[in-house]
Amino acid sequence: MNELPQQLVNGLLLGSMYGLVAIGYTMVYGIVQLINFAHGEIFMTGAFGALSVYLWVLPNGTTMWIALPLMLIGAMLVASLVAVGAERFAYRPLRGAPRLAPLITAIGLSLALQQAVWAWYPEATSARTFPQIEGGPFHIGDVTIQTGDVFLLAAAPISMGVLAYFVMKTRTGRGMQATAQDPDTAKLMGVNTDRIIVVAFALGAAFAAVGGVAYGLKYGQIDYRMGFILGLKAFTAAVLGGIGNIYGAMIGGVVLGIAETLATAYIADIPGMDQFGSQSWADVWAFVLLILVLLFRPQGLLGERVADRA
Amino acid sequence: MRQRSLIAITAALSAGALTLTACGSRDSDDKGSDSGGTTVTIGVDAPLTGDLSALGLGIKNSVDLAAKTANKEKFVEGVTFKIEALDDQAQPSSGQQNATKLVADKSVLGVVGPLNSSVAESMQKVFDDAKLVEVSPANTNPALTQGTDWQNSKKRVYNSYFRTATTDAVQGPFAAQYLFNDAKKKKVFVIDDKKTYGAGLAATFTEEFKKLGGAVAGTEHINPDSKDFSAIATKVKNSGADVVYYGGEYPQAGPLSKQIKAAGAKIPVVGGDGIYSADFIKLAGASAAGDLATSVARRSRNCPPPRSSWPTTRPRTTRRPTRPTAATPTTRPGRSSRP
Repeated sequence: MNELPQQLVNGLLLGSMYGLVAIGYTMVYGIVQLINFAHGEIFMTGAFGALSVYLWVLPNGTTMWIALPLMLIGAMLVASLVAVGAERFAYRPLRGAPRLAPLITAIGLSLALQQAVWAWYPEATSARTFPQIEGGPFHIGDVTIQTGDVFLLAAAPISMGVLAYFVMKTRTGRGMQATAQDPDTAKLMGVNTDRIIVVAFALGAAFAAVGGVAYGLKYGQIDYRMGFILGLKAFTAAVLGGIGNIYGAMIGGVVLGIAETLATAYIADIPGMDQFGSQSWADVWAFVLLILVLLFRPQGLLGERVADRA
Repeated sequence: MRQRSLIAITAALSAGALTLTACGSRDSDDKGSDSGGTTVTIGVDAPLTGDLSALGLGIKNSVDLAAKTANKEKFVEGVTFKIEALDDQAQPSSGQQNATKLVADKSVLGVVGPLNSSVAESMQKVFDDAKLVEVSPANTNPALTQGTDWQNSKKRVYNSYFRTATTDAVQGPFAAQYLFNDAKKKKVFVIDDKKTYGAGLAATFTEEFKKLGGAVAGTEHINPDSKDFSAIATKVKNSGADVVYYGGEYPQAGPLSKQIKAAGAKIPVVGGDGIYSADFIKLAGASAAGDLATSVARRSRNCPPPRSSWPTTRPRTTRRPTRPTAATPTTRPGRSSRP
C-alpha cells in the first residue's frame, strides 16, 4: 500500500485540472443556465494559444521562467477571445430561445472549433509537442512530483483564491451573484446583465486556459481533441460538486480525479474484481460515484438549490 | 523541448514506414494484367487523418508511388493505374462504409489497406461478398486470415483477404524471445488498449513470455481516449517489473512511455509495429531512449522486383525506435532505401 500517497497525488493533479475547467461550466451555468459544451474546446484553444506565444512571439530558446507567464497571458487572451466570440455570435442570438437550441449550438460549436484548429493550426493534424520546464522531478518521501505538475499544484489554489476574491469583493463579482440569483431583478437594479454574462464567459475561459497550459506542461503534448473528453469530465466534476457553485467545481474535480485514479490502482486488487479494475473501467467507477452522490444529494456536494427556477 | 538530435533517426524511421507498404502495393499491379481496360483504379483505405495518420499517409503515399511507377515504367502495357484513397480515421464503422463505396465503384479492381486490424474485421465480409481482393500491408491480428479459433484450428474465412505483414502469432512471441533470451528481462508488465490489434498482440506476447519462464508482474488495460496514465505508471513502478510490453499504437504508447519514465521506472517500453513510427519518438520525448519496437515488414532492399513471386513474410529484426544504447539486437537493423 506504499503507493497510496503517490496515487492520491496523481488523482489530485488530474482532479485540479478537471476543476480548473469545471469552473467555466459552473459559472456560465450559474448565470445563464446554459451548459456550454464548447468549453472543453475553449480549454484546447487556450493550450494552443500558449504554444503559439512560445513558437512565434518569443525568441527561440527563451527560458521557461520568462516564457511561462507570457504563455499564460497568451493562453488566457486567446481562450477568452474565443469564448467571448462564441457568446456574442453563437449564444446571444439564442438568449430567448428554448433551452435545447443553445445546447445543440454548443455541441456544434465544439465540433467546429476542433476542426478549425485541426485544419488551420500548423501541423495540428497530429499531436504537437509543448515546451517543458527544465529540471528533475521532486521527491517528498515516497511521492514523486514532476516539474510540470508543480505549476498545476500552484495554479489551481491560486486561481480559486483569485476567483473567490473577484466574485465576493468586486463590484462586477457582486453583479454576477445578483444576475445568478435573478437576472430580471438584477437588470432592474441597474446591473448590466449582458456585460456580466460576457465577463462570466471570459473568466471561465481564462481558468480553462490555465488548465490548458497545465495540461501541456504535464503531458508534454497537446492536440485538437484534447478538450473533448476532458470537457466531459470537467462537466461531470461541475455536476458532482454542485453546478452553479464555484467551490463545488474545484472540489468535484478533485473528488473525480482521485476516484478515477484510485479505481485504476486498487479495484483490480479486490478478489474477483480483476476484470473491472483497469483504466478502461475507471470512468465507469467515476460515474458510479457520480450517480451515488446525485442519488443522496441531487444538488451535488456543495450545491444549494434543489429546484431550478427555469 | 527541442529534439534536434533525434531528427536523423526520425528520418530513417519514416523511410522505414514506407518499406511496410512497398511490398504490399506491388500486388495491385499484378491484377491489372488480367483486365484489358485502359484505366484501373486501386482503392486505398487507411487513417488519413487523426492520430494514426502518420502511418496511414505512409500507406497512401506508397500506393501512390507504386501506381506512378507502374504507369511510368509500363508494367502493364495499355493500362493506366490510378488510386482512390479513402480515409477510415481508424474507425471500423468508417472502414465499412469505405469498403461499400469501393465495392460499388466498378473500376476498382483491388484495395490496399487498412492499417488497423479492427477496421479490417469490419471490411472483410463486404469485400469477400463482392469478390474484391483486399491486401493489407499492416494488419497483424492472426484471426483475420486464420479464423477466431486460430490457436486450435486454423480456418480461412474470407478468401478475398490477403496481407503482406506477418501476424502477431509471430510478432508477439518474437518480442518475448528477444526480451527473455537476449535482453535478459524476466519480469514484464503487460499493458494493452483493448482493441483487436493491441489486445491480440499482448496476448500472444504474454503466452510466449510465460512459456519461456518469465513472470508477469501485472497487467493493465488503458483507455485510448485518455492521456493521463499516471495511475498506471505508479503501478508499473511499484510492480518491480524490468520491462513493459505495450499492445497498441503510438498515440497512446508515446505518452505512456513518457509517464512511466517520469514516475521513476527506468525500464524500456516494448511494443509491436503499432508503435514503430517517428511520431512515437516525438510523443515520448528523450526519455524514451532504449524503448524497442518490432516491425513486421521485410527490408525494402530484399523486396523482389515487381511481378515476381509472392513475398514470404517473417518478422523483421527488432530494432530500437530511439538511439541505440547497450545491447545490440541479434540481426542488423535494415537500412531503408527508397523502393
